Amino acid sequence: MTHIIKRQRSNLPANWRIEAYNPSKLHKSIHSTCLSVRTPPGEADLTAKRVCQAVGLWLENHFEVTSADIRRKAGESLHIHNPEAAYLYQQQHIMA
Amino acid sequence: MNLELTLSPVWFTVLIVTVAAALHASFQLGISVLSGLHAHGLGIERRRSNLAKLGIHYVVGVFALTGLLALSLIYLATVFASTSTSFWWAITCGLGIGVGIAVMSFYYRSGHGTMLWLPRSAAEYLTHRITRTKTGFEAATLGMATTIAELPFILAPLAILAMLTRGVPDFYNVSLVLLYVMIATSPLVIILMLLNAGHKLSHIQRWRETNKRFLQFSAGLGLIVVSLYLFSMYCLSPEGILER
Repeated sequence: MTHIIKRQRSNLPANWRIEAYNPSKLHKSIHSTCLSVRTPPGEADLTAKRVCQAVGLWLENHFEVTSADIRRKAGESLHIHNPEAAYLYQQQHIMA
Repeated sequence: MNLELTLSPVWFTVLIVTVAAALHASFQLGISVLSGLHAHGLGIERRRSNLAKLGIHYVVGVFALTGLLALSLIYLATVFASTSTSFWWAITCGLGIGVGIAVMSFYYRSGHGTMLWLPRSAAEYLTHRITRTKTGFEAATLGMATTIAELPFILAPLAILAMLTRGVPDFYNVSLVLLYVMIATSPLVIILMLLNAGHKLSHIQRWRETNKRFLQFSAGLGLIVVSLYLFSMYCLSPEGILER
């Protein structure tokens, strides 16, 4: 099982939180980002499934990754299916 | 060139208030939070009417608190700045120059995106509130919280407004305050109209990212220029010292 390291506003390992990778969380995030750029719901769902599959394949070779890695990989995969959503997905955590 | 000699005092004040309001309007935190609110609403499939209602309430919250802050500063200026006017103008202009330099230096964080100077805890609080906003009242309080979060930067143009409109609250001064608040919140109204008309958030965000350095530079430089001009008007020239 792949683990995700979440850096909680700190570069100190003592402040990091580790949780198991949850594909449904990623699916929900990609789905809502697609809806934010007014993608039809069916297409958003399909895009989210494809992105989760691509990220899942990538994670097979990795035991531990950071949430930034997941975001980057998901963004790259999303860019193939929906470039507008991919731009917003990568901007969301750096908008404010 | 002494603008006040070529323009009547009334139009001169209107011009400076308009410039100060435009500088206030160029600050981006309100737009970031409104964009986040709209994106979140679309993401969880809110009804379009509900989304519009939240956006309107958000803008009303920003409008209300900006107006209240302006009136509070005007009251303080009326009480404290009626004597030693040159001293208070020097303080106001110093604040404007300091904020202008700060805007040009670190308003946006380095790197991609439109990440602002805000402490991460404040940004996370606003992001958390965006996801929890369901009613119009919560959207209005979110607008007020955003205005408070941006206070270190909007204080400078508000102080300029306060010094120009201090005194008796007649029709003229109240109109100037209304003009200021309307111009300061106009970008939010425009963005809200664009989003509700169907424009994609990604297009708006792309525009913001492309032009962020221009907006940052023009806001900072504008504040510095206006502050220096007002300083020369009210602190250095004999006519200005005798006037406001």
